[in-house]
Amino acid sequence: MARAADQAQSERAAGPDLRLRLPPIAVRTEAERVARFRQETDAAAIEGLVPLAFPVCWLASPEIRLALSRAIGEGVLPVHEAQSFAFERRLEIDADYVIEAELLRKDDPPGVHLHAVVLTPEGEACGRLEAVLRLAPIAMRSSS
Amino acid sequence: MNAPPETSTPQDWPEVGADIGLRAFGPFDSGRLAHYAAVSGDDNPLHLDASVAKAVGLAAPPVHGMLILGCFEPALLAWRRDIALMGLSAKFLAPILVGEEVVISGRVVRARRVPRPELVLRLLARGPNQDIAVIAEATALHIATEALP
Repeated sequence: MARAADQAQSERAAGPDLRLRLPPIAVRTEAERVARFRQETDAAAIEGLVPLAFPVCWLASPEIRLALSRAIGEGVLPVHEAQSFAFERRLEIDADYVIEAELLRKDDPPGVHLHAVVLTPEGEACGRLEAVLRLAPIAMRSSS
Repeated sequence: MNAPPETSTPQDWPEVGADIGLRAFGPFDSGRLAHYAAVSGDDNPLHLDASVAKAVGLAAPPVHGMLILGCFEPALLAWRRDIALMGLSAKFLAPILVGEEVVISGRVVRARRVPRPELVLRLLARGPNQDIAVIAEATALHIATEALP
């Protein structure tokens, strides 16, 4: 995580639009988490399948959260504006994968674009995902 | 499942315009959003804290867009079990607020039989008053019955 933070910091100063490329992150399709994701998306009846949208869970990995937090900054909240998944091969349950992610912070309009590629540990491409987050300013809150 | 194996086109392979029907999901209460936040790791307070939602101008916390998007695959597989969803691209147009439900609908906009059976579908998730909350395009391949998980 510290390594990711260091790299993120070094790339932060690279240009007006912040671009962060993270080191590869090891992830896994744990059967229990996949089952819970299926349950929450009303897909419980689809036994044995990793939902196409499941990799969104990997965006909560500490490395990506840290980078997202840096890209988003203070005083705004991320609002999901668009999302895509494109897979050449479906993921298997209880299998290891690697995710390579890149974040781009744009200022006009304020937003963060996240691109990620999912690979097997041997480096074969499985698919990719992309998220577009709009940054909504938080209104001043009353103390009452 | 790896890349779905090549299959021949089934006799009832849909044509352009085929309707997937309507399928309702929700209503999504605050407990459901908390469970989704726990499993997905998306604990953005916007979805969990009414005061934060209010601070960005919403009357109530919005349902996670990804929770709604995650419902498209079961909606498609309820229509046809012999397909594998390979792509899904969506825009979130309007929030669905906690306590509301969505109805997913869709139509085939492209149907190929060669080189392998493939469908492209336009999908909608509508909230209260039929407002479109999510518009999406999905790509699905036919899979042989014996390849079903």
